Amino acid sequence: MRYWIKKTIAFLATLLVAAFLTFLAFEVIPSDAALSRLGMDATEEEVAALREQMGLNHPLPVRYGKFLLGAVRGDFGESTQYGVPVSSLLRARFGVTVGLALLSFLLIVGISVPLGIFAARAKTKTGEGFAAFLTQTMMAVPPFFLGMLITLLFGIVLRWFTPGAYVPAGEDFFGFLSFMIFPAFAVAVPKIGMTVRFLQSSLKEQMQSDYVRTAKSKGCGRRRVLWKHVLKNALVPVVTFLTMVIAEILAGSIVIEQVFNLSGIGRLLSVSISARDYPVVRAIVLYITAVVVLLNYGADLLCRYLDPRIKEL
Amino acid sequence: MGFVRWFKKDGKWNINRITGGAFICAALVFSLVGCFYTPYDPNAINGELKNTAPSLAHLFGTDNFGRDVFSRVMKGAGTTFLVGLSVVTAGAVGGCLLGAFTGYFGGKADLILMRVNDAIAAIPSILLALVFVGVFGSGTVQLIAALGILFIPSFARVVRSGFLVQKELDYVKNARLMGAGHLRIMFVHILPNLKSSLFSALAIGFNNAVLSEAAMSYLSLGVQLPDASLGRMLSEAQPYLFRAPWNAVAPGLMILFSVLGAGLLSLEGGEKSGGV
Repeated sequence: MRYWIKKTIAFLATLLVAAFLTFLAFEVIPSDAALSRLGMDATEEEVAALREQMGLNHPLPVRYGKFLLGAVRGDFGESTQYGVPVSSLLRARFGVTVGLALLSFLLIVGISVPLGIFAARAKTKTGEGFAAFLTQTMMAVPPFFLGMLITLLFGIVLRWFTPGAYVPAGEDFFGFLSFMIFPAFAVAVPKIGMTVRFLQSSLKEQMQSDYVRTAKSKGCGRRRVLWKHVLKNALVPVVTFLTMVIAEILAGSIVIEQVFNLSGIGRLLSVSISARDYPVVRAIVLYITAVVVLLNYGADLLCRYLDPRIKEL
Repeated sequence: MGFVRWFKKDGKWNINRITGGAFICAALVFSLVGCFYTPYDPNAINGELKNTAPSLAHLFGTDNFGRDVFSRVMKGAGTTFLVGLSVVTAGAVGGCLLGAFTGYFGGKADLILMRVNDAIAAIPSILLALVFVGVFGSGTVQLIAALGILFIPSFARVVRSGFLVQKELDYVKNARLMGAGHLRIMFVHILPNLKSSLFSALAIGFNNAVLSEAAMSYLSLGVQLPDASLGRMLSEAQPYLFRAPWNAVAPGLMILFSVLGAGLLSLEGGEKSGGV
């Protein structure tokens, strides 16, 4: 079978399994959705009526089917906390999270690639050790602590931005950028450490391989070896790695949105967990999982395109 | 002798490893002492000492309730490390068992378990931990359980790949011929040979556990009051960032140095054996 057909089937199957697990996780919760919406002093008849109305009396497979149908149409039910459809809550917060993720990703790629190449060229043991120390330090900073330090330094002391004053990109793009660059940086720093380290080790590995020796001995310049041979061969693992980094960025933004008081998807998630607003939690979990699965699917296809030698599954 | 040699590389002192060892030892001693002795009661509220700057009496100053930040960091580091160590232990034991059996025996079970493993590993662990806490409620025990389960796949992968290589080697065949049982071969013969890659996995796992605990507690979904934890202290310090920055800086630096310490220790061993 063709590679992409196989991958597409695997992708859809993973998505279905993920949706089922998300659904199941919130079915075993020892709480009654109807009761929690009405409060403790509701009469039994009221609860029974609402249970019927919310469709809680149907058997499990029927409810899963309904959940799946709703998810496909973007209908995740109503938030118990705000009393509005979950989809409208998500739509209002979508832009913030996507903007943050995109900006952090650009920062990560823009900073790590030159640094990684530079670190891979380090010749001395001291240089290598120092590069390792730096990347470890970057990975050791808790992103939310970094976010606080950035708020303190650039927001309160230097006044380069006003903490909490988020501007939507649609209204004022430069205002948006000049605010978002700070949270994006806080998200990016630990991942820059990871990426530089990864690039350094995979480039090093490539540089020690036979084809590099051959290229050098036939008179290829250092620069040409790096750009034409090494980087091309290192591309596949880097694409796979960056896919993982995007998933990590989404996870990192859950905490960073709280630090910078951004009302994005991640903030909504942590607030909804505290408030036991399960329809919202379920929708966000499903949404992030779907994005991660989709990214992996895209990366698989891209890697196959970059390197046709990749075996069939 | 072996201990001293461990801090050297090619006959020279390995500065990163020494620094890492010093950081992690200092952090552990600091938190261990905090379990038995703190200069002040970490929860004692003193209205007259609100947000005072660091001084000799209060090395890291006091917080908004007049509590001594130094004592609280000692106590909080204890909680954070306890969570980190429990999570790593749970993940390592589970991961070793799973990785050893799947790597050694192979077959269909191996194929299926590794698929599940990959699926779990693809999703950011903090998201899964949040789901777990959402379902089972927040608290220290739930947090340890959630992170412990989530850390199994990463250990399982390291152990499994080690077993795949080792089981083909001659010493395993030798042991087989001498009549050693499968369990004995797995845990007495093979597992000790994986100690350097396991050590890196442990250090990296400890770091991830500490950072996850801090993040979850920062979101008030991890360690609950009245227990002090480093993440919790950071979230409490945030509103007073301008008036009393030491409230945030002290626990933050504590996390940074301990994670950096374990990270530096994990460096060399991991690269030789393929990494995590």
